Amino acid sequence: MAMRWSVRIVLGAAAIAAALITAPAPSFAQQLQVTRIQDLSFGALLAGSTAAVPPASPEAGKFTVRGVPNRPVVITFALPTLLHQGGATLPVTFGAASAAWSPVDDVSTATYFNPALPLSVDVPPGGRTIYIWIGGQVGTNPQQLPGGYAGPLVITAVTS
Amino acid sequence: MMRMVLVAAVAALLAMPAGAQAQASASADLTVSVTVIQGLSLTKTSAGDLDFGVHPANTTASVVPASGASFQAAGEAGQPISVSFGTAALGGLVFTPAVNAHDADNAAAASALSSGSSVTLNGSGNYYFWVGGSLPIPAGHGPGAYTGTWTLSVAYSAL
Repeated sequence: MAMRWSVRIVLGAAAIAAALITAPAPSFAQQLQVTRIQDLSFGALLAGSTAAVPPASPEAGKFTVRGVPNRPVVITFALPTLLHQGGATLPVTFGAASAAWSPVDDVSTATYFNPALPLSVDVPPGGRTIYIWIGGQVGTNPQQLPGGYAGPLVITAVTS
Repeated sequence: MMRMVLVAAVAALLAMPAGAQAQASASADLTVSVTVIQGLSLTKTSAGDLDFGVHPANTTASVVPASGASFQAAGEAGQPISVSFGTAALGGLVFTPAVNAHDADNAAAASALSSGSSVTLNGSGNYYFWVGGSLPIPAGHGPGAYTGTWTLSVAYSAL
């Protein structure tokens, strides 16, 4: 009798553990999503001139980071220093106010930050989404080879 | 036996949330881009300037664009440019231009263009202009040779 009871408990505990271990409950990793909304475009630029795109510009790059409500997220960027067209390059720079973030999809309410430094924010409990805009500056020289120049910018979000 | 299995189950339960407590990360990338365009130039391509010839007072001299001076703009293919010009003073006379333009070097196919208009450079980066106009000479205006300078300007619209 006692032996049968013990077996039931053991099997029950094992079943619970197995269920919990294999349960498809979403992990933080599954709930963390970074999405590109828009590329950063400096448009057309005359050789020898410079151009700046602020985060509030319609030409600014845009991402969203979706995570677990109230959890901290650390956001970092891998910023390009050069844009390329074949073997030709031109410099691209990012300043202390080249990026902005907001818990709502409205850049006018955003807080500016330096994309060269990690940004730590809590995921808002409501929409669970952080909106990020990024601009920058490019410069050309008078002998700059005409054409389209491009380079990648990577954003990474880490939560724990 | 039962105690051992329970310990194992509890250990499994404790171990289970380790994935949730570990760091999770996600990345995305975007493209940063800029298009560098070459400079814009405007060159008078006709051999001569705009010459109204000899006219008596109290008449209006005129030259049709196809018979006047011509210009060629050269820049980045496909880029829009704005075109601007005004009147010009020749002594006491006022020259009012008539400008025709086309994306091919074909005066007969060109159409009238007003100041402030925008046109698009052709696939070779060119656009063509022909300039004539009118020059009223009031009654009693003193005889003589009158000259003046008239300016046609172009600029990239998108910059």
